[in-house]
Amino acid sequence: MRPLKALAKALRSVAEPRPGRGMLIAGLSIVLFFVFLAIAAPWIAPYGPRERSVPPELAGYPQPPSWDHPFGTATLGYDVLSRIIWGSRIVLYVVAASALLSMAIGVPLGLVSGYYGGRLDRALSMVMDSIYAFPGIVLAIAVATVLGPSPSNAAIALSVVYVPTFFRMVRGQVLELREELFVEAARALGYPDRIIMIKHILPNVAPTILAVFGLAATDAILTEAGLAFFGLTVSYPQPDWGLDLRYGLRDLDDGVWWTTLFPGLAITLLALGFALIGEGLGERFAIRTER
Amino acid sequence: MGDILLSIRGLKVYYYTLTGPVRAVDNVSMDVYKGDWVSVVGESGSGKSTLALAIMGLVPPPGRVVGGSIVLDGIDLTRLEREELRKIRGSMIGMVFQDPMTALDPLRKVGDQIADVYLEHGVTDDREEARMMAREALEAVGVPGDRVEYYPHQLSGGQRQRVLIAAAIALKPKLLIADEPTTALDVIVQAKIMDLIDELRRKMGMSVLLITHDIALAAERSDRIAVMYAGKLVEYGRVDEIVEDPLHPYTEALLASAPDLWGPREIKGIPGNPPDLRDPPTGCPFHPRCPLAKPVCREKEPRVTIINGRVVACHLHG
Repeated sequence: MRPLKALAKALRSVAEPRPGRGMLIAGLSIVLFFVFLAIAAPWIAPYGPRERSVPPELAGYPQPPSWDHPFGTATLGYDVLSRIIWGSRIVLYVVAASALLSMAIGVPLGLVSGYYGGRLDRALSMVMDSIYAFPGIVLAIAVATVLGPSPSNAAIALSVVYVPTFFRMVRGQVLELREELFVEAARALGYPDRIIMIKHILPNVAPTILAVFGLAATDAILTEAGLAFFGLTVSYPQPDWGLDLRYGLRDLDDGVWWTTLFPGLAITLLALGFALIGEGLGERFAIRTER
Repeated sequence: MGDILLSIRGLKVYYYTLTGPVRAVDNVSMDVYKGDWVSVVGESGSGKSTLALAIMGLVPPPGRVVGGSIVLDGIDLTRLEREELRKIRGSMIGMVFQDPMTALDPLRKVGDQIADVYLEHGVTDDREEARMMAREALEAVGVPGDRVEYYPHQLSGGQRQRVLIAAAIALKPKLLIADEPTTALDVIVQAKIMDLIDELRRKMGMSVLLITHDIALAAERSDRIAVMYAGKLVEYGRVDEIVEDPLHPYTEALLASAPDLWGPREIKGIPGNPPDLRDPPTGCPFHPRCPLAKPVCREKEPRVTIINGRVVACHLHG
């Protein structure tokens, strides 16, 4: 019961008339909508992801949107709408896993690095800055290629890209916070560093972490689509928006626009949802987010 | 005069900056007796706050204690391991800071912040029991017990300072260091906080080390006053002696610069500025501003001398 209560409380606080309210509500609605699609796919998707939804003689020819197939059909008779619904599962899994993983690594490192400073801080910052210097998609493709194509490996590859984002933001905040008088006061009360970091500094960084989470997830969706496009998540005909985009691309010359437009829209919409959450949190807590 | 609680000998704390070491505390020696109230007075940059931080073992980098000893109740704090010193902070020495507005964690209830002291120092493992103790501690400093549920922003400046004092004395320390505890508060609240510290000192028999720039405030409350200038202790003695018959010209100038409600309207400042501690003047650090400076003051640093039981570092004496 308790987690449910906490969730209800969090949702209520989102709706409070404070800065960023509109963006937070819109963003959460979009993201929760896709989460719902992913969970309820077996019941709401008209067809299975690899089910031939048209008579065999039509399977070779993509069918335009109609009442039976609102988003049309793709080669082999796959229903585009159903593939988008089923595909949200892979996308959300990869994005959530990578954002959580990079948070789980980047936040503690940033905390320790900013708090202790010194040689450790310089070394960690240098490593993080070197990772940060690569364009995200290039780095993700490189890592994913080395690890081999699979959704979990794609998540790991993406988290490598976003660890420095969490690290830099958290470290920057900790650098400011550790100079705060209440941190000095906590030291004067004889608290160990570990307690000061967890009890006093981390909660004060929490809003920033959430905002960065939103922004990292936004970027991760686009990069995930890139990985999928190159076949580094699942292999066709398993459903993934980025991969569908690539297979749809071949049909464009024949005037078949619906096999690319709808997966592309899904990618954009979900990215927009996370971006709104990140920006909304940034506005609410007056966080300067550097990217 | 009772037993010595804190004995500082030849303490040197330097900040190693890129342009050379800053001698924030330079060869300071003094004793604090049990139950005594000692005030350390001096201008900004005189090293008084650094002295307090050195006792706490909290001198921030690039600062370092480079020499001398700080003996508290028979233990030399400068020789302790980090971990041992940490346990002494909060239990044997409490500290109260200048700005009560920012010295409390804004995200935690004040009751929890006091309860933390009991939990972290192992007085109890039971959170509920620690909360009860926090409640009592709050009442002991004159804050209603139900305030444990309040966040810092819901309290006034005076109440916050009381909360900080409650946390600092929770474990009945032998020494309370108060670094300008009332500078951020208005005069009425200031007097009340000082009364509270005095009351707690008597009740618990602890010693108080007050760091302040306000010699009038120090004169009102202290048993002894230590005057610091440019990182050096220039005079130390009983409050009546210091106020009525200051030996060092700097002490005299400080006393003369304190505003007096019934005195002349004009406030007499001390001409000139405190010296750059990276490159202190030769001889007596105060000689460029001293109205009584003699040629020897420029050449030789005055030794700390004891005249009739009074401590002073000046060529006019000794």
